[in-house]
Amino acid sequence: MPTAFRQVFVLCLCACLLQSLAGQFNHLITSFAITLDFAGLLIAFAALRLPFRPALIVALFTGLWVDAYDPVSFGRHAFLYGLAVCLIHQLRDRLPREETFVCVVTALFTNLALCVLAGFLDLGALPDAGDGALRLLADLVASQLATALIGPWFIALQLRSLQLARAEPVSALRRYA
Amino acid sequence: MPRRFDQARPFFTLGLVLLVWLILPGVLKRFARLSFYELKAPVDLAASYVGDLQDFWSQKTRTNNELIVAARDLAAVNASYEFRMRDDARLRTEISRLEELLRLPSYGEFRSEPARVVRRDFNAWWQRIIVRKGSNHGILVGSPVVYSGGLAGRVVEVHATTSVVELISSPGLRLAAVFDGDDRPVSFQGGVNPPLRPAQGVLEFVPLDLFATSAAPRSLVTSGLGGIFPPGLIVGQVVQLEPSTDGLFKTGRVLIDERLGRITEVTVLVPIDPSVVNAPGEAAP
Repeated sequence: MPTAFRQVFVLCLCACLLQSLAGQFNHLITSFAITLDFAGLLIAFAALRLPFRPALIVALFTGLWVDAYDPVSFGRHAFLYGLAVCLIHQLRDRLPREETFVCVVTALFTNLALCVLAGFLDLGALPDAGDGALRLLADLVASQLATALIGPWFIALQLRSLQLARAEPVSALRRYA
Repeated sequence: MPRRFDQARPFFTLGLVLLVWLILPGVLKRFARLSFYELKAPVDLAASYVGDLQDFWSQKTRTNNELIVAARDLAAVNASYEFRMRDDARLRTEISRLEELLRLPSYGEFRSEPARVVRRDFNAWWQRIIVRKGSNHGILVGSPVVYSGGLAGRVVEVHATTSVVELISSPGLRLAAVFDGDDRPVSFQGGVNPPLRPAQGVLEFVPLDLFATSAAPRSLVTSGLGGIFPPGLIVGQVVQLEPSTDGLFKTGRVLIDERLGRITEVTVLVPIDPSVVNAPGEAAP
């Protein structure tokens, strides 16, 4: 089986796992009226470490997985995640992208960008934009804290899973050596 | 390859994917969505069943004395419900008699289908739950859903073993309601979901002679207009009313029961006549 295929398969599985865990956690905390979103974390590792095409496929699959439950037009998250992968891919050569810290910070910025974009697109649809914005801000703060907390674990999980599948991404240092 | 194109290539590829996606027939997209949904559903269903198993084993740790006390309490509740059921049957007969006497159209009949909540999905944009019953159990799109606190919402998607319910706290749900003890319809819309507080709804087109404050709240119930939601189901408590900008009506806030935030069990009211729920939604006045 080609390495790229194994990389896509493993990272899609990891993304599905995180989505399911996040869904279960959100299910448990609904009475607090707070929702956690790990969109940035779902794609940051793939965008920083994989070649472009596998990273894009991971982002599109993850987006469609998210879209399956959400009452938005099917493909919306896939497109947004794909766009985020394109942007990160453009910037990644200027970053020490194999560092876990960089991956977590990228996830945080991606989360922020996606939240702001969703706010711009949909805030007018809420009956009370003020309360809606307050809720979005609370969700964003909680999501960023949670992303920073579980980010290192999830990145390690992806890396170890790729190693287990013998599909570890090529190191940037090795590539330019 | 020129460096400028090399830099733009990711965006070009994404644009190409987007173009292909846009020209893809709707049937294929719908098929893909359903496939992804059915792929994802077993994960949540499994988690729900595991949760039930955990509950079962935690109940097994209870002592016999605790079970005896619980059974005694349950017997008292059952006796109370039996009395109410008899009263309910008497009232139904009375309603039928009056409908015949006054030649009024009768309200739709419903079949109750209890269902456990598999997943609650509450965020600023939508408030939905997934329940563990679907088309295999005869659930219909548009069926009203109730819980111990009153009206929970409406079924918006039905799949093989699960259904998606849009809650009354969701901005997408509007319905015609009335103040308890008043027969003039007002428009209710969910969607005010502040953090760390119970969900609220927005009320519009309230007659000027109606009053409610947080100190003296008034109950809001379904009106029965439109035929989808049966009349008299509790929607929430009106805690604020103020004149609207045009001065013709009042607008207000409705506090929705906080039990909706930890809902675990609902009852889907499946209409006996499916044509009742064929309409896309209950018309607001």
